[in-house]
Amino acid sequence: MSRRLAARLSDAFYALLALIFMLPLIWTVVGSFRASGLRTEPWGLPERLNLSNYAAAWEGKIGVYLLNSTVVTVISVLVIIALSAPAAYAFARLRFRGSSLMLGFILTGLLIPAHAVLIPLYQLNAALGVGDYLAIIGPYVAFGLPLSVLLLRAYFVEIPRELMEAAIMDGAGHMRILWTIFMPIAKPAVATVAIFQASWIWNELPFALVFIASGSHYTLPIGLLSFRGEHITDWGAILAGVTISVVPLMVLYLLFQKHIVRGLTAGAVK
Amino acid sequence: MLVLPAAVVFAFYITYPLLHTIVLSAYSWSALNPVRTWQGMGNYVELYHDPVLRVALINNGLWIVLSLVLQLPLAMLLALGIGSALRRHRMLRTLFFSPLIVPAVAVGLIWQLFYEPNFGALNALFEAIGLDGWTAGWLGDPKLATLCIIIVSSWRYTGFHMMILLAGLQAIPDDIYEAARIDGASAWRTFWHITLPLMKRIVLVDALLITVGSVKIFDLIWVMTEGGPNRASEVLATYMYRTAFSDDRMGYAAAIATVMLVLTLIATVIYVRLTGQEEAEA
Repeated sequence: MSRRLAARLSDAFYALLALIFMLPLIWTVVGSFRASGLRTEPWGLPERLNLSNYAAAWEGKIGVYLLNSTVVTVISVLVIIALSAPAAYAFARLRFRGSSLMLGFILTGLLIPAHAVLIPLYQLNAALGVGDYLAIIGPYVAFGLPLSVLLLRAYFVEIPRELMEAAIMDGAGHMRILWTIFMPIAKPAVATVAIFQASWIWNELPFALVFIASGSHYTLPIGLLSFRGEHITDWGAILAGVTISVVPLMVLYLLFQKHIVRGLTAGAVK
Repeated sequence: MLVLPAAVVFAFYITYPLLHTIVLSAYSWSALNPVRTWQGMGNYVELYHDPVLRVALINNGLWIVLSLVLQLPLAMLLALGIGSALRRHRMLRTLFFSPLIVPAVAVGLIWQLFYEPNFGALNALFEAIGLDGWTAGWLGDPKLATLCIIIVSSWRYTGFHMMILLAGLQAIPDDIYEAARIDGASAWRTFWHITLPLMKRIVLVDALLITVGSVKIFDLIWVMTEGGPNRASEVLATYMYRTAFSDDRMGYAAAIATVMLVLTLIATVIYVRLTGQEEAEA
């Protein structure tokens, strides 16, 4: 068997596998455009492009949830980057006492389950009278820091030391070096951090479930769950809601995807 | 000074609450009646005899083993097969990664409908291709529920692990492969004797991620079965959540959370040991 043919066959195999993998998602999108028949003929196709499910999802306030999730995700990711970049810079480039201890301390967060902090934070929020956005953004940022510090640090370490030294000669402070030299060079790592953090915050369930009290502040995950309660049989609306909830992250991912492996590679080698 | 803001936020939202959970597990109280009574090890004694905890522990064990067995080899296969920079490989990678971008709640809802015993797509598919005997109650069947959700989770995360392994794969210098090819080594031998040994470290890191993820697993189960039917698919996280926020037994729930924490710690120590051995041998 020639090398070429083998490569073709292997590609065909992976393409088939990908198709099977995508089946539930394709099925969801197709189903979201069907007016009826979801129960009688689950594999049927829509007779024509029918938007009634989307209308029902809109009725179910999917737009509000979408907006809430966007606000929470954008704020959290910006704060994560603003806090983790200086820390990663210090860990990568400055020698200070206890630096490896401090790094280890923050990296423990990669492993800690959210459930291990739920009760004390629930009490804290109750005692402070804090709810909704304010209550969830804090833990989102804290849990986002470890991975961000890890990935950014790994990338910063590979930036030639001379760049920093030259800038210091010119009288630039560390913050300026970080934001004007390091961050632009580390774009793949920043993109990787942004997409990973955005996707877990967009999807996060336990904190949102416990801390968000008012329906008008629901993020997408609990919003979608509430669909199941309200429209007990309207699976069409759920499929439409699911489809809507995927679009923003899909766009973000397609924009950033070429950076992702590069951003991870630096982290993997170190 | 540059580290301080991050460290403070981290300590405030993670380290301090974490320690607080351990302290709280020695008390009993509820949100309705917040007066705490000292229990000492009482909650842990109760946990030791708790049949639901036993089910949850067994299920978490099943999650760990099956997730490793399903996800690691498939992720490796994908990383090796479609890891190149070719445009069609990049597109395929995007497809395999895409379930990760779908919110876990959405994934749970889709698959719930897929598994639905009466009008679900999976049973309909089996009937259509003549495999009537394969139809089942899926999530409604206590024996199958956990397995069904593990499959969904593997479907969702394999693409992510492919990316991690791919990052390790790309760190291997090309000239090593070149040398192997000149020596006439087969693809199979090259994989076992060159690729795998050089990737051991990242494979171990990835295995740790899968293991810890399986100890923490919550979302998919909560959406698809809420730990049912009749608690058959309960895991530590769902049990902890129910105990705290439905049954309102905060101290007992804190004890369950502490068990989760200890298991995570044990898993980490084991993997760190394994990685350390790797380096000592190298």
